[in-house]
Amino acid sequence: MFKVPFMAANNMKSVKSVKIDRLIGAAIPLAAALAIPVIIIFLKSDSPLKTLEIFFTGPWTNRWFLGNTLDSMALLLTASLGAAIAFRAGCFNIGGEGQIYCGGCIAAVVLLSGKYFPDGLMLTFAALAAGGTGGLMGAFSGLLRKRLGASELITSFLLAAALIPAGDYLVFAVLRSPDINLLASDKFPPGRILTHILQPSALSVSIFFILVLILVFHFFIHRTAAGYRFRISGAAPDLAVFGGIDPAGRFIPALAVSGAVFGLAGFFAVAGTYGMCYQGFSGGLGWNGIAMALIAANEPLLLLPVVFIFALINAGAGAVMLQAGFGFETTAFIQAAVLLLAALPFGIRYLKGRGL
Amino acid sequence: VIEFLERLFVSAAPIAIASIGALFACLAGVLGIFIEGFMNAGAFFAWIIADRTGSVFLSLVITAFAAALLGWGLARFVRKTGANPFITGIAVNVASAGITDALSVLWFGTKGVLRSPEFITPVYNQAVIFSWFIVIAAVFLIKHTHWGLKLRASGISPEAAKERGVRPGLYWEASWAISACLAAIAGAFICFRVGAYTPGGIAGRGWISLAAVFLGFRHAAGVYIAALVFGLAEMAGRHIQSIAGLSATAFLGLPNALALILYIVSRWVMKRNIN
Repeated sequence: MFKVPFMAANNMKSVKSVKIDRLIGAAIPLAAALAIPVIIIFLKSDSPLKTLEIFFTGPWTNRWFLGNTLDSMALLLTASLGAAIAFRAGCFNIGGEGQIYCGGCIAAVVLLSGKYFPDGLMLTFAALAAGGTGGLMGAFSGLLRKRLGASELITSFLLAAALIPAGDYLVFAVLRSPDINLLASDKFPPGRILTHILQPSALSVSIFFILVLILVFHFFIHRTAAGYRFRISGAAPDLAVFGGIDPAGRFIPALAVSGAVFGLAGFFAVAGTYGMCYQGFSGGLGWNGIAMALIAANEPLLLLPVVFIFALINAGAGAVMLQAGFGFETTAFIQAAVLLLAALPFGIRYLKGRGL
Repeated sequence: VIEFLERLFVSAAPIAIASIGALFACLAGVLGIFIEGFMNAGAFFAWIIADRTGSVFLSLVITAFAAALLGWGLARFVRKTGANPFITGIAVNVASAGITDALSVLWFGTKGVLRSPEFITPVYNQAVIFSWFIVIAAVFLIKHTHWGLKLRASGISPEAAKERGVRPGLYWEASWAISACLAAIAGAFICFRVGAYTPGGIAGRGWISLAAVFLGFRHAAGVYIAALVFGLAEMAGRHIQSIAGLSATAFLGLPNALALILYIVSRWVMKRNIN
């Protein structure tokens, strides 16, 4: 009978333990993010029970609410996958906000041009252009890291921060519609908007694309040899060298793919959610994506429950605002909870190491 | 010319202060990614304290002390638990924006600009003088004291430093405390410069400070010159914006673009020298 060697058994135990740490690490910020709005409602609302009921049931009451919740989940999933891909390779792509925004702006330019080309073709071009824009931005940071040893933390942020105003300019000077009093483009032609499901909500088919992408990434890192090399280069670069893997080889592909997925989030936002492009449409999506990826410990399948719960919390807050006229800032809570993520798994391991 | 220099020094002062803070962390061997977050939190809490007490000085002292304590705690936590310092730094930045937004909504009912009629008159010259003082103190500390020597040794080779009886971990903790403290003061000066707290008002200056450390080739005086360059870029961006209005929106990214280009150049020069 096949026997598990002693070392392997030990390793299996430690892998299980790490998985449990990750689950706890994700569960506590989620619980905190749920608890904080509940406490605030109790402290601040005139009729806390009624407000709480709206908070928890609001996102499910009709197609519009449910669809919008799922749509914000799709966008957040895309952004968090973009962040997780880089983190998983041991790289830090924190230019996600700019990659989403620039990707979305470029997609809008494509979707508003080429009048005589088929709509499906232009939608494909727009997706490629958005992904390509984000991918190029990411790859640039990867190239600098590989060639010059420049920290991708600094370069990805600075490049994004330098290009976001350029995106603003594009919306203001090129895309802006003379018919609208906002800094926004015209609505895209109906054929150039991703098919909406659960109408009249903003939910589009983008949710299916991102679910497939998450499964592909999960399969890649856990089931393929290339994925193993990718993972090990990020988790233990020294060990990778020992095993004949060049860990520096991951910088460009990891950051390029990460940037491309962020760019795709921009495409989903303009071509799916809004059907147009407006100034500042990304509105913190990139940073929230980073927060979600950190909370889910960069595990693709763990992104699903984490993002789902946070999307629900946001939707619940929206419902409370609309139906009870009671407003509070939930995105901020989501972001604040991330500190727990960074601290918790390490803290647990530290306490375990001390026998506590 | 004098007026131009005055404006340049004022514009560069917060970046210089934060950059010197980032320099300490960098010399200790760990990049201070958290600078942006501490600048933002520093600006927010300094505004609140100054608004409540009416004293800029008291506000600066309390903010600096609290930030130093937090920075030290953060370093200690990272060191003891083995948490990734970069991820922790990113988490601090994300959480700082979130916490200040949440508290702003909770305490003041707005996520927007915080103003107060009783707010003290804007502070310019003190920031400039403080930045000069910090640069001189940093040059002296890093280059001419045993403490500075041990700090640099801890960053270059912690193992070798240990062999010589130095405890690198303590220097790392101290450097993060200094970094956090100076970052919070820099954020407070940005807030006092306009006399109000603006969410997102730090606008990437924390990251620019990190780039300034490399552009200044990790020397305090060099870092100050780099801060002046970024101060100049900031002024140029504002000037173009004021002349051309919204159509010059693209130039708002000028300081960041310049920081990126100069950071790349500094890395290239460093790599060439090593080769």
